Amino acid sequence: MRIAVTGTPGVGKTTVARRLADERGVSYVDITRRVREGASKGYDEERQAPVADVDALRDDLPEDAVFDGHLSHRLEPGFTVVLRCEPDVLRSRLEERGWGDEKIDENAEAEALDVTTAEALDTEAPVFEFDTTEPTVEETVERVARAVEERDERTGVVDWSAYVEGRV
Amino acid sequence: MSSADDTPESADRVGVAHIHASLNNTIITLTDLTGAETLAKSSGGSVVKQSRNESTPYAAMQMAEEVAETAQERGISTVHVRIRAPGGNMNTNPGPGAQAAIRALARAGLEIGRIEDVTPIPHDGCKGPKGRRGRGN
Ligand SMILES: Nc1ncnc2c1ncn2[C@@H]1O[C@H](COP(=O)(O)OP(=O)(O)O)[C@@H](O)[C@H]1O
Ligand SMILES: [Mg+2]
Repeated sequence: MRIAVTGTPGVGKTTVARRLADERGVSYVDITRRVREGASKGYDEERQAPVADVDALRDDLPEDAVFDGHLSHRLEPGFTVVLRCEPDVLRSRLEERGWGDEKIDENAEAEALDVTTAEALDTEAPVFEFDTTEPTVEETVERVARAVEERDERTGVVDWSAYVEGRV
Repeated sequence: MSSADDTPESADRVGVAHIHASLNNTIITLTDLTGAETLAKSSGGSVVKQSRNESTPYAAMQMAEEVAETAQERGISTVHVRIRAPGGNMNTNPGPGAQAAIRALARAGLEIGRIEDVTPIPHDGCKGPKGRRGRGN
């Protein structure tokens, strides 16, 4: 099965996807890297980011794999895991990366407004949403692995309204 | 064009309605044209009792009516709308709460000016295509 691990940058996709692929003994596919290495069509000057070519990304993906990336839910996976993180905690994770304020603001706001969950719910795949704010990486991987096994669909586990209200 | 834009003290001021719609809630604020002064603010929690109803079109409509009333008290007759509302990646329209809010603002007698979609886009080393709505590609 193809498993998408998606969510706003900083929620823990790479950490979880690598471990999940290891545990299942399947390939790990870094979707963002594939975009940077050519699966793109155009460039967003404002965000300094190549625009993904989703059709090109869908070419030669392994049958059994874990996809890591905030666009992975768009690649017709059999199961989608959306990781979430409280926006202020997310900000501090992104600050550690040395990202600029505008990039951090936009990603935190996207997280606060449930952008990726809304997109994932618009696809065919079952969606399991998990909040990584409090749990350890171990707890998260264990819970996500079990959800994949059981095809456990679950959304609506977070509400970041307070963050939005605090910033308007 | 009328003189609305350059005579802010006149009886037909222009404001900006900012709509934030998540899966959980809708929040509408009304500001002046610069965005610096907040004239009104309403969120789902203030118009419905149960939190699961905070993101419904009905709640958004109620909020928009409240906001429109304040706008008119402040002499604002026209509002530009800035929407942040997630939707599916195939979806070219803003979320249901946002659409209901815009309709309600209009129904309450406000002139709707420019509608701009400024929904935030997750991005790290890349971003998705079709830019989702607004803000260039
Ligand atoms: N429960 C958790 N699950 C995953 N990552 C977590 C968790 N708690 C804290 N983190 C930390 O958050 C950061 C997430 O980074 P990363 O996995 O690269 O995110 P992404 O790939 O989504 O941008 C890591 O430093 C990781 O250790
Ligand atoms: Mg990553």
